[in-house]
Amino acid sequence: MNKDEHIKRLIEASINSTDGMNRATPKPFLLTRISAKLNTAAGSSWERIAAFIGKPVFLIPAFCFIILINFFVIFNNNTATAPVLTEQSSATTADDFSNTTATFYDTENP
Amino acid sequence: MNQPETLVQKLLNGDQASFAELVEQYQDMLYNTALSIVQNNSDADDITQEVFIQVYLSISSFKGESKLSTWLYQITISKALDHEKKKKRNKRYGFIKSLFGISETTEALPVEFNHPGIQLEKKESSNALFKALKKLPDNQRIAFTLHKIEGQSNLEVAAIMNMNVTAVESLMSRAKVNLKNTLQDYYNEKFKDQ
Repeated sequence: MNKDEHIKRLIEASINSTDGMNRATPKPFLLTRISAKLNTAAGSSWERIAAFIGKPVFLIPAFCFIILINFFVIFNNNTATAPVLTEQSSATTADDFSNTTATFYDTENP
Repeated sequence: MNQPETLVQKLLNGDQASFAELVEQYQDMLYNTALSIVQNNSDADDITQEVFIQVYLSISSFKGESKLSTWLYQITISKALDHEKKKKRNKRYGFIKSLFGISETTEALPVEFNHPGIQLEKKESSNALFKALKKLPDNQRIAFTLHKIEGQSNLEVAAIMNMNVTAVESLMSRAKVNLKNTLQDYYNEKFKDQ
């Protein structure tokens, strides 16, 4: 039998090697281990909340939301603190700076 | 022994004994499927546990449109593939994680996988097959595993994989061609000096 033929037979043997195989069995006390895991899983609701918060499906939108709020606050503050330009007449300016002199002392009527 | 429909009904009513019966009935089936995919005994055991936990927690989502075994197979395959992806990801980012001091206990992958159910005289040829299976695309690997290793009919494989029988047959034939090519390379390399 030449090499190629031998390899061909080995390939066929490999492909059919699972024929008639027995089933493997898991380690003993599988149910006990599952029950223990179930009890731990059901034990703490805080752990489940923490696990959910740690998931990207929550983290990414939360991060984007915080960034959005930051932008909103920054731009909102800029418009609120901008100087308000109002027109003032000369009379009001004079009032503001008290441009009139006090006349407590009348020089003509001593 | 209860019929699957009765078992599901009892589980929905919160009967704990029926969960024990479900585990007893399906543990070998799920463990073997997981084992053929992940090719590691301890990982397959973990996946089997996770599957039963999910079944216990989400039995109300089982509508009975498919067979119970089909639903169990689907969960097992999905968990096993997720497990493999996670393992690959951990391996890929292991160096970066170690730089930040995040130590994860990653057990070294065994060089050769010995399925405990394989007959002694077929061990060597089955090792080569399982190595070649690892190189197949996921859908071909699942189809081959379910059909050839789990002994499911094409119809059942189609139901598990949510496709039609023709698509499964096509996947199977492509899987066989790819396996033959990989095995050809493997044996050529092995006997190159002879």
